[in-house]
Amino acid sequence: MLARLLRSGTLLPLVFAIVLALGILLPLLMMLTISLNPDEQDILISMGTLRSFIPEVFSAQNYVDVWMDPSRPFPRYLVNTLVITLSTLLISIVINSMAAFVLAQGTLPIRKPVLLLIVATIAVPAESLVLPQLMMAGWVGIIDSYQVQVLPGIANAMSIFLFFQFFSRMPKELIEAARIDGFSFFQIYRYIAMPLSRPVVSAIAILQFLEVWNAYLWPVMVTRGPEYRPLTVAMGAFFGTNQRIPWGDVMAFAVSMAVPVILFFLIMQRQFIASVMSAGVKG
Amino acid sequence: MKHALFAGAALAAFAVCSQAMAGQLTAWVIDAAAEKPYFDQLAGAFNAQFEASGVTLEVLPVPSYNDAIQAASVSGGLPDIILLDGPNMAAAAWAGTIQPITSLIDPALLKDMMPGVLAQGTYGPTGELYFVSAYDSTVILWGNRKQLEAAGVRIPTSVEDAWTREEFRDALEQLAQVDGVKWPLDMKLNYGAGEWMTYGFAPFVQSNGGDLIDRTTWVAEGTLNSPGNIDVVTELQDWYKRGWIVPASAGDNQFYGEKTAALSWVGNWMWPPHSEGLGDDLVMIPAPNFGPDGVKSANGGWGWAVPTATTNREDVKVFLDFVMSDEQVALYADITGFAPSRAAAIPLSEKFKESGPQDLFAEQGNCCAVVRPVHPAYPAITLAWSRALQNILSDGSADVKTELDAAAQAIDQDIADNQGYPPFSAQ
Amino acid sequence: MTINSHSRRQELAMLVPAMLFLVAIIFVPFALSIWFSFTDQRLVPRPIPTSFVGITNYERLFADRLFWQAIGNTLLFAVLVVPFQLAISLAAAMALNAAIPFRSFFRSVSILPLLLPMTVVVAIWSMLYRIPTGPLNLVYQWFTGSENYVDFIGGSSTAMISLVVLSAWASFPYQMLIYLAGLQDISPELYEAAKLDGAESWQRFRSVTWPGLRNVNIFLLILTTIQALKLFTQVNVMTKGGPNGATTTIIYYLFQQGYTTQKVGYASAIAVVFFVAVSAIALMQRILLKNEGDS
Repeated sequence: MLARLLRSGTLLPLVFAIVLALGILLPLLMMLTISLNPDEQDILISMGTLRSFIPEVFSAQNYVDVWMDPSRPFPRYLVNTLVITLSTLLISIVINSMAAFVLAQGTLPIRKPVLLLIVATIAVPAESLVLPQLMMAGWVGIIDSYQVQVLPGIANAMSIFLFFQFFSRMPKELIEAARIDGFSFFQIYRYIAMPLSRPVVSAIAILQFLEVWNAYLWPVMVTRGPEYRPLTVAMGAFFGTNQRIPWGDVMAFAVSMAVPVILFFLIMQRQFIASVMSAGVKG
Repeated sequence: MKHALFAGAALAAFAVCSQAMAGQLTAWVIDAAAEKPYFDQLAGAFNAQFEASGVTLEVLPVPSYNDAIQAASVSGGLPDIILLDGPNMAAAAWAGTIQPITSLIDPALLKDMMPGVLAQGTYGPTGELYFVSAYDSTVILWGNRKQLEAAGVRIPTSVEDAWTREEFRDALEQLAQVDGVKWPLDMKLNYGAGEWMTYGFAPFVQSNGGDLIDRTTWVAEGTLNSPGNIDVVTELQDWYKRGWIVPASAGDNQFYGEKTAALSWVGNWMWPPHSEGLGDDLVMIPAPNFGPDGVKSANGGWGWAVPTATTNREDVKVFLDFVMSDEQVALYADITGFAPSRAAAIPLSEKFKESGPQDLFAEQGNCCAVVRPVHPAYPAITLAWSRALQNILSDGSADVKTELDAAAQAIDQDIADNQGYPPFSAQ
Repeated sequence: MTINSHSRRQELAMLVPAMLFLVAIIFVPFALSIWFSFTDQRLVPRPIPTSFVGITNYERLFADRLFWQAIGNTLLFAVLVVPFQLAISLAAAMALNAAIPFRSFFRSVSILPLLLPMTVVVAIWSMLYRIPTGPLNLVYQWFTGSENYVDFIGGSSTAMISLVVLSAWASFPYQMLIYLAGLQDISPELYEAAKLDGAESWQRFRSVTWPGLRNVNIFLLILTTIQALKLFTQVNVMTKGGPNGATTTIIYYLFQQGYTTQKVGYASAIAVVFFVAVSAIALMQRILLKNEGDS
C-alpha cells in the first residue's frame, strides 16, 4: 500500500493531512475530555499529562450544571442565539443577493461607485463603530431586544461581494433568453439567478452563520437581562475577574455551543464544499 | 346597602391602586462563582418577607458586568439597583449616574460599619453616602506551613509582628531553596492587567509612606512616581527577576493545587479553594510592613448603589435595610468568605463568630485598611498604574522610573482633560 | 421605454434595502466617529459639556508612544501571520486536493477550527501554552531534554508568535477553502503537459499551480492582511495587550481608550487614522500586484 501511495504521489499530501488532522483533533479532544471531568482540581493537575487528551472519566456532571442552572438558562440562550442567527441569515441573504444582482447585471449608472463604496467598508473595523452604534441604538430605543442584535448583521459587504462575483459570471445568453421571454429584472433574479446560486448561498450562509453565532462584543453591549442574551455573552460569565475559571463547565459550555454549528455545517457541507469550488474567486 | 357597595368599590379601587403602585425592584448583580449562591437566594428571601407588603425583587446576574454597566450608562436602561465596584463610585457619582443614598438607609445600620467600607461609599465634596457594601475584602499572605517550616521561616500571627520588608525578602530567599518550591510567592499575575494590580499592589507602596495620588491636591506627579514608590516597585521587580514570583501563564493554582508556590498574596475570596487544597497546612499571615507607615491593607469590594433614574425610593429603602441587616450581612460573609462589614453581624456568622485565623481579616480591615482614591479619575488612575505594573512585572525588562513617570503623566493629563473634575479641583 | 424605466425602478428597489442598511449601520456611525474625533467626547455623559477641539486628538495621537507601539505590534503581527497562514492554507488545500484516502473525512476535520468562537479557541490554547507543564511545554522539554519551560504567552518575545499560531489555527480553514476552489479551477491538462515535459512535482508547482493561483493569491493576500491588521478579540481575551505592551494592537488600543478610559474623541481619531491607513495599504497591494502581473 505504501508503494502504491508513493507511486501515485499522494504520500506527502497524506502525511500532511494526517499531521494537520492531529493538530486540530488533539486540542478539540482535550476540550471534550475536560468537559467530561467533574473534578476541577483533577483537571488542572492532569493538564500536562496524556490524561488531558484521553478521557478517563465520563461524567455528564458539567453538562448538567451548565444546562440546568436556573439563574443561567442555557436553553433560553440557545433559543436566542438560534433566533438571532437564523433571522439575520434569512433577511441578509435576500437583501444582499438582490443588491448584488443589481450591481452585477443591472444598468443603473450608480453601480460602479456603490460597488467601490461597499468594498471599502471591508476595511472598517467593527470595534470602531461600536460606540456610535450603541449611542444610536439608545436613541432609537431598541436596546435589549432581538432587533438590535439582528439589524447590524444584515448588510454584509463580504456577502454582497461574493454574490456579485457569482452573478457577474452568469452566462449572458441565459439572461438574454429570459429577457426575450418577457421576464422582468426582478423575475430574472428570482427565477433564474437565485436557483442557480444555491452553492454560493450555502457558502455565504455558513460564513454568516459563524459570524453571527460567535458574535460577542456587540451583544455584550446591547443586551441586559437573560431574556435576549445569546450564548457568547453568557459564556463571558465564566471569565470574570479575580475568579478561578471553572474549566470543566467552560468546556461543557463550549462543546454544547459548538454542536449546533457543526450540525449546521454538516448539513450544508456538501453544498458548501461544492459551492466554494464553483464560486471561486477570480480577482 | 349603598354604603356597603360604596365601601366595597372604594376598597377594590384601593386594592387596584396598591397593585399598580406595588414596588417592583430590579437589581443587577455580578455573575461570579463566589457570590452566586448568595444572589441565587436573595430574591426569594426578600420576597418571602416583603411580597405581602407589596414590594417584590428581581435579581439579574449579568455577565461581563462592567461592560454592561458602561453600555447601559450610555444608552439608558439601568435598573432600580445596581451592584457597583467600590472604587468606581466617585466616577459614577460625578457623572450623575447614581444618586445619594444617605437618607435611604437606617442610620443604626451604619453605626457599626467598618471604617473602610464607609470611606469607600462617601463622596468627598458633599459627604453624602452613595454606596454601601455588605463586606470588606482584604489581602493577606497565605502560606503553606510545611514549606515555611522547612525553610525555617517565622510565621507571624498578628498585625503587630508582621514581616518587615527585609524579613519578607529573606523568607523568599529561604523558600526558594526548599524542595518542591518552584516559586516562593504567588502574586496572582495571572489575573492580568486590571484592578488587581492596583488593589493588590498599592498597599506595598502605601506601607512605605507612598500613595497613588496626592489626596489633597489630586496630582499624581511627584506622588505616584516618588522615590519611595520607585524603590518599592523596583524591589518587587527584583523579586520577579530572581524567579521568586509565579509568572502569569502558570495559571491560578500553583499555591493551592500544584503546591509549587509556598506563599500566595491574594484576597480572602480565595479562602475556600485554599482550605480545600491545603487543609491544615494553610496558614494566614498578615500583610507585610514595608516601611514607616506600618502594615497597610487593601480594601473595598462590590456594593449597592442606586441609579439616578430610579424613582421608587421608598421601595429601595426597604431593600437596602434588608440587605444590610445583621442576618443578610452574616449570610453573605458565610457564603463568600469575605469579612462582614458590620460588627453586629459577626456573632451571627458561622465562619466569623468564633475566634480563629479568620480574625485576621477583620483585624486588618479595622486597623490598616486604605481605601483606594475616592475620585472620579479613578478609572484612569487604575489603568495607568496597573498597566505600568504589568509592564514592570511581565518580563523584568521595563524601567520602573520610566513606567511610573508615564503613568503619573497619563493620570494628570486625564484630570486636566476633565478640568480637574470640578468640584474636586477645589479641594 | 416603459420596460426600461420599469426595469430601472426594480433595480433601484432591489438595491436600496442593502444600501439603507449599510448607510445606517456603517456610514452614519463612521461619520459620527469622524465628528467625535474632533471633539473631546466622553463615553458616559458628564457635567462638563463636550467641546470642539479641532485636531488636538490627532496631534496627541501622533506624539503617543503607546500608539506607535501598537502600530509596530500590528504590523509585526500582519507580517508574521499572513505568510504563515497563507502557506498553511495552501499546503492544506493542496493536500486535500490530492487523491488521498479518506479525503472527505480530512476535509471535514480541517474546517472545525473555524467553527469555534474565539473565546473557546483562546481557552483551549491557554491550556496548551500553560507553564510549567502544559502540553506544548512538555513537547519542548522532550525535545530539549531539559526542565526549562518556555513562557509562550508571558514572554514579550514569544507572545506575538503565540498569537500568530493561535490565530492561524483558528482561521486557516477560510483561506484553505478559497485556495481549494482556486486549485480546482486549474485545468488538469496543464499538469499533463508539464508531466510530459518531464517536470518534477516541485517544478510543476512553480510552472502550473502557482501562476494558476495568481488571482486567488492577490485576493487572499489583501483580505488576510486586512483581517490581520484588525486583530482584536484574541488580544482582548487572552493577552490583554501584554506582556509589557507587546501584543497591543491598534484596534485593542482603540478599544482601551474609547471604552475603558472613556475617551471616545481620542478613540475616534484612532479609528479614522486606521481606516485611512488600511485602505491605503489595501489599495497599494492591489495596484502593485496587478501591475506586476500585467507587465
